[in-house]
Amino acid sequence: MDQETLMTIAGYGKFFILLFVFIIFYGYAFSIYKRQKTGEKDFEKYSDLVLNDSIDATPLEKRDNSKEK
Amino acid sequence: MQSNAQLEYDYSVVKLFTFATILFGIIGMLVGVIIAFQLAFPELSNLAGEYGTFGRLRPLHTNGVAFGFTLSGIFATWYYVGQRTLKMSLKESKFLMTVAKLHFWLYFITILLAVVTLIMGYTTSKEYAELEWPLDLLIVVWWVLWGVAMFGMIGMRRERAIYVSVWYYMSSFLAVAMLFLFNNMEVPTMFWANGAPSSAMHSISMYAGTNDALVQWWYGHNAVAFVFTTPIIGMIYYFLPKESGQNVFSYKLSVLAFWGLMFVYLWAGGHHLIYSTVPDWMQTMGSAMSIVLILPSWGSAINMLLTMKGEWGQLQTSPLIKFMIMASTFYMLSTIEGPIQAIKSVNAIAHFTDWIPGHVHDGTLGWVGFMIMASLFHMAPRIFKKEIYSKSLMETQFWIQTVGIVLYFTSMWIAGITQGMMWRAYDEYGSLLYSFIDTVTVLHPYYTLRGIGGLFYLTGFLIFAYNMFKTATSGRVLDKEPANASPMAS
Repeated sequence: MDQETLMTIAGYGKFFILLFVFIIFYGYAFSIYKRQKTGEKDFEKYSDLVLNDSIDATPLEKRDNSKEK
Repeated sequence: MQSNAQLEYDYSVVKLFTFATILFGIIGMLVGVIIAFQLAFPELSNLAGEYGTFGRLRPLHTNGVAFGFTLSGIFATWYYVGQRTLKMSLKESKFLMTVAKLHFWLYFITILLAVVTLIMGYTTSKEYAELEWPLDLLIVVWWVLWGVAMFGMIGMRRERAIYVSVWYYMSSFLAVAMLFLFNNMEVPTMFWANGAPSSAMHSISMYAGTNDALVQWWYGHNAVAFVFTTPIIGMIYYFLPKESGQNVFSYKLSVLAFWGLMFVYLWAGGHHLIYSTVPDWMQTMGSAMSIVLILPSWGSAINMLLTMKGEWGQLQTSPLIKFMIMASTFYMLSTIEGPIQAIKSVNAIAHFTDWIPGHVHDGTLGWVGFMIMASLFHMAPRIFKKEIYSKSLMETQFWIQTVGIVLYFTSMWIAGITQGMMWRAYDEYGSLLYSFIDTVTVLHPYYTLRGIGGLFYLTGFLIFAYNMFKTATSGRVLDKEPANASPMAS
């Protein structure tokens, strides 16, 4: 393969990799904001994990397998 | 699991690592100041024979502050933040407690051995991976122990949701494990010496030439990513909201910035090898990914600044908040400066000049150092159950260190750009205008200023160490744990 073909392949490769990463990230951002907006999942409540972090505080989402009394 | 009523968090390992953070901080920073003055006044290199030369002391400084001070700070805060956000106590598991203590002692011994072996001149001569193979094996053991403790704690948690800070610590564990193993693939020469004289403390890299450089900078840059960045972001996502009593401005943004950082950082290391023998496409990719990095980095930094929305008054009243906001600001400065240096045309001037250590230090002194000290200050009243000894000492420390950092990076900016321009200057016949020694002469005042800046920072660190010692030994005893703002005596 000559140098020019290699450069062309590299150029297209770079473009499509960037496009792929672009779609993945913006897709993920869109999905997070959509889920928050439609009420499917409340991401913002997880901030409370810091402010309510004493050991006797009620867990935000209790684990099923924890043997709470 | 025990009933929550009698249970409390166990801070014994946190205290051990806090002590190590302060001890290794003093050693690492003291050596840093010495070598800064050696660059300005080379005769200082001859004070302690071979043991006091720049070549011996420089790796001692970098290893001391990165793997002594910073890692201890990361481990101390992990055992604190991990327990609290997962709502589990190390007291609940003898096994995990033993693992955590073993983690500390093996780590502590390794760093002490590192100090001794580096001073004696044992080095692989790979930057930030200087420790020789027996120490590398020891590192693998305690790194795995940290992983066992970490995932053991996560496995025992009461809280199903894992807070974003814990994700950052996890990423640090996983990425450093991978980076460390690949970059430290080395062959101890004594096993293959066939009777030729060979030291038991000597090894050679499994890679050669350009491949070695590539693996080295994939490691080197990601050591910055997963030692100096992600765990420190984990700290600020916990300690700033906790100290200020504010919820994180946007949890969604924190999640998005996390994944952005994870994907992009690992590709950026190529910017250390621009205009070298590595393939051109790798240099371009390193440069491009470095610029993309601005987004997730600023995502987190802006998220932190916006967390203080409506509460900026706290900046006036709390030196602890001041440390964290300054840290976040230095993070922004550093993460815009790095991508600028990674642009090929800028790199042509910046590479190999003093602008690079200038950049590194506004990140490490301003971001990493401030954030670790702020985290330790926040933890102190909780782990010692005492009030912080002196608010005015904190204020003094803050200003001395801030001035020190500004002196450090501004002198290195000027020195670096001067150096870069002088190296490239040529006359109408294409001959170089300056010889190397011309740049050295011009840079002398800036090297002196850098030494003074470092001395300021070290002075502030000694004030910090004194304040922490007095808090632990003679601070006013607290009858209950403070919810948010840390109590401090004036």
